Amino acid sequence: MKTVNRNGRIEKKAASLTRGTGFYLKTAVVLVSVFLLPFIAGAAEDIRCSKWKVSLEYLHHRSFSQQSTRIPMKAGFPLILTKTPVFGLGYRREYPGVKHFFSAAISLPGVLDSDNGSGQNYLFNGDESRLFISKLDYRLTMQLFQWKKITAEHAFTSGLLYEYRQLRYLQGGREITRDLNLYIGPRMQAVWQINDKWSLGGFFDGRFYLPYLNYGYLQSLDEAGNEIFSSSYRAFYYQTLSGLRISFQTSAGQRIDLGIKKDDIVGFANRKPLFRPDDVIHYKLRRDLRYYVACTF
Amino acid sequence: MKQSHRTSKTMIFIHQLIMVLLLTSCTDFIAQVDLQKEWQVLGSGNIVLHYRSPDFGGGSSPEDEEARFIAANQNYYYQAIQDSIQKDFTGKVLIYLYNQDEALEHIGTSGGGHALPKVNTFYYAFIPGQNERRDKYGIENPFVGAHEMVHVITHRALGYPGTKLMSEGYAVWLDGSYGGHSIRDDHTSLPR
Repeated sequence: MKTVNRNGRIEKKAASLTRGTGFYLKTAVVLVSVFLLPFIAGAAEDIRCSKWKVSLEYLHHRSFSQQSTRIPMKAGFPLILTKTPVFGLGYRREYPGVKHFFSAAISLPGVLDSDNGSGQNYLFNGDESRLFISKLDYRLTMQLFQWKKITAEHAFTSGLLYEYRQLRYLQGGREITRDLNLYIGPRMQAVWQINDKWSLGGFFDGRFYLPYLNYGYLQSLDEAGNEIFSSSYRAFYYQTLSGLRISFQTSAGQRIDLGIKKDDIVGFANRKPLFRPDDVIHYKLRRDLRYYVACTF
Repeated sequence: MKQSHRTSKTMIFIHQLIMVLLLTSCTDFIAQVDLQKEWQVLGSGNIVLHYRSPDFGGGSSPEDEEARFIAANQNYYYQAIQDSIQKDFTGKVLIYLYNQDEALEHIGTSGGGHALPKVNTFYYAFIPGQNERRDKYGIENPFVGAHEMVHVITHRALGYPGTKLMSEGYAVWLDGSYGGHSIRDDHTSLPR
């Protein structure tokens, strides 16, 4: 169904919404299935351990500009930056041989700034430029080996990332992007149990956001708020997360973690689901750092 | 039996380790951070021109007078493009002008540039001795033409074009040149 907007442009909004609804429905089915799997698969008497986790992250977000289009691409100025806290809640359930971990996280909307290379913001009105992130993650972990006090595990991860970004340009125009992305990928983690109280852990995640499992919507508005462009898009991103943590086990059985994660993401979004850049209307070229403190109880 | 079990575990571990090393470095294989900070910055009207200082190396850098000439031309194109498309655009446009010998490494070309309209930016190679020409706006031997500025302003004011061909064609038409040559000199049958 076609509609006509205020500028007299014909839009296929209804059709795009229909595609979006279908996507949301499929995503919901996949997620519910994945998240229910451990509860269906494991018998209650087999549960070895059941724990909750709360976390607070400090996200230092840096989005780069694609300076060179050749591979390897060069990521440079101007940068889009923000710093914002992210709140998380997790639940871990262990069965013999496997562990299931679910988590959800939500950020406060971060105020976006830009840096031209000499620390100046020539682009955005910071008060109205925002980045908001929320996500659901699932991890199925199995032990790989144990050697002395070191335990190594590998895992399958999947999850859903929702991101809303509004760029309010200094002259008043806006660009709004909404991303709903499903990812899958492998994970490796290892823990060195230094003594009864202290341990040191590290992990690596590789996450693939495939174009057929993603949905995004971009909207450009002029100074008066009139829409000048809008389109749905399908993204192909690759993300790597690696981190280190130090943990302390309290006498009451809680574990306190203090850690840092390096979160890199690179990729592009076309109007159609493709694995190659074609009519790219959105991209991610990010190097984030996340400092966190968490408590498992 | 126990020995064989241990060997297979070791093999799995080595395999996983290789996978991790490959995957960890993968984002760097695709995109490398290249933060170039040594810029002279010239703000002029709606243009913020970043260019290299005379002693930077990697080819000739623009003299201050040449930088002012480039910024003035870009301000002129900035207005002319808006007049042509009959849309207003008031944002500042950031230009990063690399010296010719370093441009290939940093922006992927030493004979032109590319635009990132999302951040009102374009990157370009500074080429001191170009073809003698007068562009369609009457400017003699501009170091940087209007092409990338067209991408920035049209994408921001009109939205993303339906095809790359349309986007490039429109930019060539508004710039009036292709590869440093006037399209009217090369294609005399085009309407004037």
